[in-house]
Amino acid sequence: MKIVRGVLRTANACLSRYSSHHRTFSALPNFAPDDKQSTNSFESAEDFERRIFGDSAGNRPSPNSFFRKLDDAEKSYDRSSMGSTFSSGNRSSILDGLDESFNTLSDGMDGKLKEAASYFQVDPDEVDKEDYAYRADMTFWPGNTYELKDLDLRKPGVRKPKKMVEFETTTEEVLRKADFRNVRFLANFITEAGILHKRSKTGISAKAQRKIAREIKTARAFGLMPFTTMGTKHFVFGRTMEDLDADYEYEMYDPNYVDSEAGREPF
Amino acid sequence: MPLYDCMLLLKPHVKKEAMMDLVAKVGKHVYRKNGVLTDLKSFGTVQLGYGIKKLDGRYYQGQLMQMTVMTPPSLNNELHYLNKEDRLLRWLLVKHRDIKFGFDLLGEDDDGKAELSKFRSNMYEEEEEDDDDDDDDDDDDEYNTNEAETKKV
Repeated sequence: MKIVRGVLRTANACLSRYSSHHRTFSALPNFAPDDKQSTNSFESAEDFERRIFGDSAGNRPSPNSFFRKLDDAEKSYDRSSMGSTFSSGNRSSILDGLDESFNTLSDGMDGKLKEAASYFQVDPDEVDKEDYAYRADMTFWPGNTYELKDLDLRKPGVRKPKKMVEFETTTEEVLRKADFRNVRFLANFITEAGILHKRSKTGISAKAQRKIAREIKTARAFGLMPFTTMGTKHFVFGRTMEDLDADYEYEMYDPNYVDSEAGREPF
Repeated sequence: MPLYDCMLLLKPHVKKEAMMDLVAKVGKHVYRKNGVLTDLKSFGTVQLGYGIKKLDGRYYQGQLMQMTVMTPPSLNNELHYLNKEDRLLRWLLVKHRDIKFGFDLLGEDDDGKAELSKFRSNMYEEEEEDDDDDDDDDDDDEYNTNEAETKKV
């Protein structure tokens, strides 16, 4: 911040110096304003020509000629702006010699533009703002993981899908918990239609899959789990499979809804 | 003598007295064979996976009992009279296995907390009691589950 401010100040200073040059620069031999009126009235055409174009007699232009002064002003401006870091780079000394007239390339705008492009206003309280996001072009869902390259602001953000909450289990857990009475656990292994999940979905061993299948089939025969729920509603542990009128109602979001059925039975 | 679990799934409106009467009958069979009743557990009313059709209608709930007994394997044959029991929806005799789930896990560290977190505020809500008397219909199961899973040891 400080450096940027300092650079700005020097740039402003040289600009103001330039403008003062510009103001005092005039087509008159001496720059005093009180002399201006008197000299202007008594000047002849030859005098004026000599003043503007220099002495036509000698090859060397007189130090008083208009163009000579213009060159001097130009050079002094360049020298003063040499101190500023931004305008020094884009001005070559060769161009200075060739540049006879004052054009847009040398009016200092290049430096100003470059400075504006390289300056970024930093807000130190940005983090505390309401809508602050380190990566506004990415959404990090809870449960998602990110790598180091995801945080790299120079690269465009890649949107990742939200991680779905899915049932996960291990072979050990299955072998420990699988029982036809443990319907809460077994219900995770059937689809919405009531058929068994394949083993590649849960990632358990063949032994565990056989055990799960046996227990689910026992539970089905005992009446605790459905053979199929195709065409009826999804089997959820602790919910009745009875055809209720409530099942045919439109689903509405109720913020005060408490699931009274799920998880009531210890079984 | 091996340990067996005798699972009894009763109709939801059966009263405690009638339930205990049925359990006592099974217990008598066990004792007659010099067996021991080691554990008696009630799972309360459970929701069924499908409606079990009996002569007096479809049942979507049932009361589940578990009797853990130590008997000779011939008990299974004697329990076949339960097929005619009209208070029962299903019965099953399986070998006892050391599997813990539900409230059994409460004493343990991790799974017990997970079990408890599944419960909501109104878990102590009273179940409404039906005062229907049992009809004297014969059992007519769609599905027969009376084969015990076990083999003789």
